[in-house]
Amino acid sequence: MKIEFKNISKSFGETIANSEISFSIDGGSIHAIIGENGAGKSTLIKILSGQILPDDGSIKLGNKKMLLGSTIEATNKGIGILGQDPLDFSNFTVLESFLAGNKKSSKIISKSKFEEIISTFSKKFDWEINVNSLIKDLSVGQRQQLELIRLLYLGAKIIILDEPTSGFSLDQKKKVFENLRDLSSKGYTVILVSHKIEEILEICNKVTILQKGKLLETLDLPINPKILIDKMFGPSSNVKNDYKKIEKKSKKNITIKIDKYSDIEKITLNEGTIIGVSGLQGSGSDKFVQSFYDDLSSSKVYYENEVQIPFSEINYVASDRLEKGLFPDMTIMEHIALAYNSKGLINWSNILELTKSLINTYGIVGTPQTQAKNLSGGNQQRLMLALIKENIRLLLLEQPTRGLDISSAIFVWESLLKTKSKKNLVIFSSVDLYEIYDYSDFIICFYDNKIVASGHKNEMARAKVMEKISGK
Amino acid sequence: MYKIILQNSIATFLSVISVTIVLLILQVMPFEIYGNLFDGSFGSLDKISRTLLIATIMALAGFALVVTFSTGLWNIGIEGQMLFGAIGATFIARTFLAEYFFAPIIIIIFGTLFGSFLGLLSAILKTRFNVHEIFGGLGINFVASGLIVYLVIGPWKREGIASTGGTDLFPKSSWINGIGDSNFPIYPIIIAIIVFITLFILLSRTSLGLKLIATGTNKDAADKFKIDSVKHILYAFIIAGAIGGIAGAIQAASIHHKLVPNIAGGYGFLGILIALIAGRNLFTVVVISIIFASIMVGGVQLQLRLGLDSSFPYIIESVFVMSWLIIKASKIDSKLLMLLVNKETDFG
Amino acid sequence: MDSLELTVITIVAMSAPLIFAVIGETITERVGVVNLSMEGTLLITALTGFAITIWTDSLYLGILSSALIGGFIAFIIVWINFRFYINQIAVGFIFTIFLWKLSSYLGGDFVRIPGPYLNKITIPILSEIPFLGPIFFDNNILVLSSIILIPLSWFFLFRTNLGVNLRAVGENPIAADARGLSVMKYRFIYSVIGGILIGIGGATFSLEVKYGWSEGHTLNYGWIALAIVIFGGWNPVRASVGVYGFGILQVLSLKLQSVTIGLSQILPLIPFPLMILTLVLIQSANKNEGRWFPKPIRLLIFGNQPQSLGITYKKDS
Repeated sequence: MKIEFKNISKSFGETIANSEISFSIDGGSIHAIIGENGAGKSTLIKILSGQILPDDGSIKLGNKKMLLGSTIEATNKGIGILGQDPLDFSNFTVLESFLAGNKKSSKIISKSKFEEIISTFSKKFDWEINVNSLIKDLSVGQRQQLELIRLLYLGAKIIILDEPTSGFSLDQKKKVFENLRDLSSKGYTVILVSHKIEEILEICNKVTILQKGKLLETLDLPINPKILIDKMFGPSSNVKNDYKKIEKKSKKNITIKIDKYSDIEKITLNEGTIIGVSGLQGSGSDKFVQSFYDDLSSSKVYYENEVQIPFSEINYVASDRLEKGLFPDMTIMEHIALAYNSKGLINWSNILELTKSLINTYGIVGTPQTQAKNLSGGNQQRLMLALIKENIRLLLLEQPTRGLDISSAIFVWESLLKTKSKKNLVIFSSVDLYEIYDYSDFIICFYDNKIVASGHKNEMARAKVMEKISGK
Repeated sequence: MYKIILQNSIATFLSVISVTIVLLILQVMPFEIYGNLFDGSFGSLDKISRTLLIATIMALAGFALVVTFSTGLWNIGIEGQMLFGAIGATFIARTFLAEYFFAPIIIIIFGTLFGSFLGLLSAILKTRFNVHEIFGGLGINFVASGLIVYLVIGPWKREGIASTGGTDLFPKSSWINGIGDSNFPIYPIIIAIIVFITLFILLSRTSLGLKLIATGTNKDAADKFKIDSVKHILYAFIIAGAIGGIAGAIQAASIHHKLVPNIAGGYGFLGILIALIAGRNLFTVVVISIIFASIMVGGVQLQLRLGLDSSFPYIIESVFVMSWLIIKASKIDSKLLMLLVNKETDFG
Repeated sequence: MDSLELTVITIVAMSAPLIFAVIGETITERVGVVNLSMEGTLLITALTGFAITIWTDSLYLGILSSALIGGFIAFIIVWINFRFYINQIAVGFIFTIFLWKLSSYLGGDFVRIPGPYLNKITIPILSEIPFLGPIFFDNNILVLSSIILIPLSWFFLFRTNLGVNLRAVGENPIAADARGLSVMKYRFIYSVIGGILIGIGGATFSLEVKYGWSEGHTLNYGWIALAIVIFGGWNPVRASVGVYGFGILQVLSLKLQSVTIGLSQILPLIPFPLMILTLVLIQSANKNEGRWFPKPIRLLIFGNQPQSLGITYKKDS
């Protein structure tokens, strides 16, 4: 059945997730949707599966318009979604999770029947799933396998796979792909949302590229992988990291322990280095950056003489600003007080002065009394920068410009480069290759939770980095 | 500020209307009730004194809730903390210390300590064992009430009689009395004012208070600010328990002058209702406590004059709180305010 | 009948209200809703059952109206939660106080009126069987249905597709929604069914256990029921074991009343520390420290709290 998206638009507050997206997916094909983080892929498929109601637009299945925003409609129309983190029930047994919402089950559960169904499917794919174990004891891969079995059993005619294969081994993946091809030849439509270029090239008939919420284009496959990679990574920003070149003398060494992620035990760099961790969504690059804050026993940064940088001199800036970085209901002033007045009585008039000057310095659009939730994304990020204290030696930034418009992104980097003391070390992750190349001195490439390459910027050719992070 | 007061006045007015409707449904005369409530609670110095004493206890219970609400948690264990405060007070009243003139001070101190112990217990269940504070708090309340029954009929029973009527009266020197010959509750009021000021400074002028609130709004962000949320939850419950303990000690030393099984008198639960309205606002706690206390004390007159059941104060209060929450959640008050303000400008 | 047999029959009979209430709340919580108003609901429905029976002279109309009131209260709590996003616990708490006091006002006229009660349905011959006979074949309809309800509700929750679906909603509403289950519909329907059972529990109390009405008639039973639901690990069978265990405690405290008043007042409070202990055990079982328990014991004492229990569901749009 042909799926036709028409002018789909959806925004969350200020963020535009989808903007007038129109394209169609042929029945019986395997169609890929790609795009970098924040391009609007997951919003789009959640709209198709009824989990999100779009602000505008329509979807046609065959000749019929679909009722949007209803998962009941979507499941009735045979749309099944298999997510990166499967939507299942951690306290249920495999059998129960398989049966929840299962319209093909009889009123009274027939245990033996479904055990047989699950094991037949498992055998077909060479999977091992014990029907009596609890979902929470399964690996993510097994949960995805179970979910796929469920969708196929339910007779989903349109199967959406959202970053599905991270949990499968190579052999298992082959079997799944074989089956997907087989299904599409029988008229099933498969939609694959993925970052993995090789997978897309291997099995898909067409690919739609999204960029910043908009449709870039839909291409027929196969195609030269280089073209695809180039199209996937968006336009560049303008400020360059030339700050570095001015100072080069008498640098002390800093050592980073990375043995948990790589065969190499450690990297030794000059202080003042900016490390860019490049990797696509879900590659583990964000977790790597975070581990220097959360997991001090395994991710360590040493000064010369093996002195570890103390926790008090580490600052971590989360990318989910309102969820993890700021207090939505608290004012700018209260944030400043928390960061700069961490003991005893608070002298609010001093804090007010400090807040005013920081608002000025960082160009935050807001008053000292503005609540964090009422700031725009760019201003929230500016506030996060304003909260970084001077004595910080290790600055960790997770996707520092995610969701920001270009001018905010440039500002963020300008002020980072300006205010950052020459003595500290910056580690940031980004899905934006241009950002990595513009601002870092040293590049680490992540793929599948492992460091796949690392080196100084001049040693790392852009083409190589692109291939590495795409798993080629 | 001006706008908030106006908005709250509208919400209060609307809530009173819905209370009136419920009273009409129950076939009683609302205005007769309101009149009697006012007269019964503020009609004489004696009545005012009683109203203020009850208001003090309710406000303390409300304060105890506000502290944990700051960290985003319920302090359902408030009744138990009050009971423990009363146990602490009785413990001192039964020693030689009760004979001295400074006995009331020690009684309050021990009430505070006992109450904070129970607060700590709730917090440990929450942070260490991840027991939901509602169920943990409820359980602790009943355990505390079991302990009181045990004490009253067991080790602390009156000479020769084991009844649930209470322990022996405390020595007179340990009573917290009114001012002069009246029963105007000057000391409880002073204590409540001290607690109010301390909490006000704590929550709005200290970094500890700000951290409590930060923990309550976003634990993940607190972690990024290097705030230890577990530690701050413990602090909040210890402070809340201490305040509950004070309330219980006052109940024992100022009202009953002995330990009785239901010494908390349900004021802890009313404190929860008060805090549901007040949120984190200490001043609102005081206002609502005085209103609720006048309803409770005036309620006695309803029984005497109108022959109404003693349950009416609670019915009025619970309907009031429910209406208030719905009005606030549906933003009827701010919409109405906008409407009124716009009309004025139209005419102007 | 010997005294042991008599005791067992007494325990089964006096536990009937709690069985209804506990199973009603278990179903409610399994779908992710906390009906904290139990104490108030039991009181008001105990009064309703008794009052309607006196007015209409029909026990069945009395029971029916209690059931309807119980269901209606649950409906309102869920409605307020879905309509205004006010916390279920706050609403339940307010309702507890409101209904409790409302019952003592409305019940004023019914205090100590000698009340009607249910007759036993006696089946000849079968009722002569020791133990089982008097329980199953010489008992009134409420006690009998309370016993039947235990396996029935268990079967429904764990062996039927609807049961799995309703638990799925309580575990992970987002996932349930993605599978086309309407979270709102499930929460409304099964909270109301749970409320109906709690209502029947209230009626059972005034028509079967403690005939008639007095102020605070079902004293603390609502809170005890809440504790036993947790003790039962959200499983009707285990919860019922808890109810009967509580029944034994009550009989004991009645017998001990002549010896010492104290114990008789303290024994009924035992479910509460047990509730806390259960919660502690459940939580530690999920962490590593619980692993040292042998597996069968772990299965016996641990249960899983529905993951979305008490959490307001807002479909993201």
